[in-house]
Amino acid sequence: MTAARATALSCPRCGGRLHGVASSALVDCPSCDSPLAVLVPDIPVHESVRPSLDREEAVAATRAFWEGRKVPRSFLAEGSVEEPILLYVPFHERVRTCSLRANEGPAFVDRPSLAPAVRIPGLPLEKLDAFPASGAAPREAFDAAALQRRALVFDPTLEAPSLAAISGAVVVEERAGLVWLPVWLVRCRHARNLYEAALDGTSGTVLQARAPMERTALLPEAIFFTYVFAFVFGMPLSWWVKLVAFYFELHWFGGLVLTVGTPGVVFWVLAFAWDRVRFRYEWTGDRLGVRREPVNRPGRTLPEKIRDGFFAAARWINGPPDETEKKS
Amino acid sequence: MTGESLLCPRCGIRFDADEEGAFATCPACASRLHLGDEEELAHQKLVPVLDEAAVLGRLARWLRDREVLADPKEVVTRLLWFPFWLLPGDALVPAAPLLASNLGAFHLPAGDRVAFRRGAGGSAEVVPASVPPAGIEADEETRREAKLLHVPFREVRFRLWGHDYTVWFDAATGQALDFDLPPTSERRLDVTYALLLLALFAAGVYGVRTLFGGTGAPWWAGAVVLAGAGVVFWAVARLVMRLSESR
Repeated sequence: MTAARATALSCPRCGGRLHGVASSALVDCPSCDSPLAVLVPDIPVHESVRPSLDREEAVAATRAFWEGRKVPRSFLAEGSVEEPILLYVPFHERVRTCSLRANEGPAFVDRPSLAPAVRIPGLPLEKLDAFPASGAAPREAFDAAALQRRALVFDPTLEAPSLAAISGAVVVEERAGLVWLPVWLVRCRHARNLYEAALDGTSGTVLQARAPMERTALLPEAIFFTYVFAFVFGMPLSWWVKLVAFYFELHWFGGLVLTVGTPGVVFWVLAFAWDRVRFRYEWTGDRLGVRREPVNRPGRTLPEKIRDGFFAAARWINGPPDETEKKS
Repeated sequence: MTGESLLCPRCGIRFDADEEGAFATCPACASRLHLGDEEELAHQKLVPVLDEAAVLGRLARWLRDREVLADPKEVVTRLLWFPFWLLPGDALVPAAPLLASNLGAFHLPAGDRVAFRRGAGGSAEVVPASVPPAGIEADEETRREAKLLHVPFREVRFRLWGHDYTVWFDAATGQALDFDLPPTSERRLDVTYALLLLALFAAGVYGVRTLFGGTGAPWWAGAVVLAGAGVVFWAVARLVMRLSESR
């Protein structure tokens, strides 16, 4: 069970009850607003950050992320978006107060660090900019039961990573705690497939998202390639004869190679063009950018295997590279 | 089931406790036995009946239903127990965070229920309950009546087109809980698209040959075919893709 103790705490100033405090925490008394420090032995500070975005804003942020991209019009339309899920994910928070040896005497600075305390498959928590997120909204004492009624609250399962020494500074104090940060998960079903977007619950920044690519976006390319090959195959035979004659005018051996090689190159380009237009694509994006990725594409397609075979054959003919080539 | 059986101290018979709570009744001598550790015995679990071979059959059917035609690679299965709060009316609420995409369609699996004791799962992972009754979004009376039920799942991990996927099949009835759906193959659309491209290619070859006087028809007929075929291909392909999306 999540660390939750049935301890009734009250404010030493006004006597007001402090509901939901189940660990060490820095809280303001809900009655008299006094700043209080609650110390529960052996349980570090547990805090949570309230999301700045509500459900509708999370969906709107996802729509805004895909705006301007070639996604189907029905994607993220009303009715296809599922109820967004709010997640609370724990982060280890450690603040080290360091003493810097300045000329004018020691100066103290706080060096905070945040690291995910849980691993959730498919959710890249390492992409969450935890520092702004942890300070974006006032913190609350972590009340697991209250949060679980409206969100999925994950328990910490990973140990806090060890921190590197800070050069030129002496750590005089270290405070460790856990802070639960909000993440929105927006899911949309489109053409029987599921697409997700994970958003920072405080800023709306997309941590990771996928969306289908409008398949008609590839139609101009498909028409272009088809017509190129229609021209190659449909042009008069006499043109081919003239081309071969031209090759042999240049050089007898080169002409022979080009006569055999031209149809090979044409077929190879045809295969690559087919590879390009036959797959569906989808967009995958995060705060760094958006990429296009093929769907249901094998690691290497047939034209790529043939190409790699040619390169392997060329390497075999040339022999193993010597040391100088390897270094270069 | 040896780890779950109890020994009656009065008559010496071994039996499985299938009652809820801290007590059990010996089926031979009808002795009322106190079993200790009340909190754990208040839990129940469903008895798994699906073995690994059956679950692989379920996976094949699940993929086929989703129109995923490729064969999954590197298939690995394991048994795990996941806790749910069983509310009045047989509603299930996960007692730990669960990100399954079709949780709303998951119903209480039918099957035998027995008392749950720690260690009864053997080597299978028992996911600990982290949501207390107070964390259930329901009224106080419903929370009071909530019972913890450990549902056995056969987790299947597999690789398809370079991506990893996970599906859980409840080991009592075989309902699927999926976490990330493999994309559909859409073979029907692909075949239609290929046929349309072939038709466009044929029209293109005819148009080019006509342009250069290879068919006997006037050159402008070739130009018309080339222009018209592209437009028709565009319109039909768009229509087919829209139909496929709306299906």
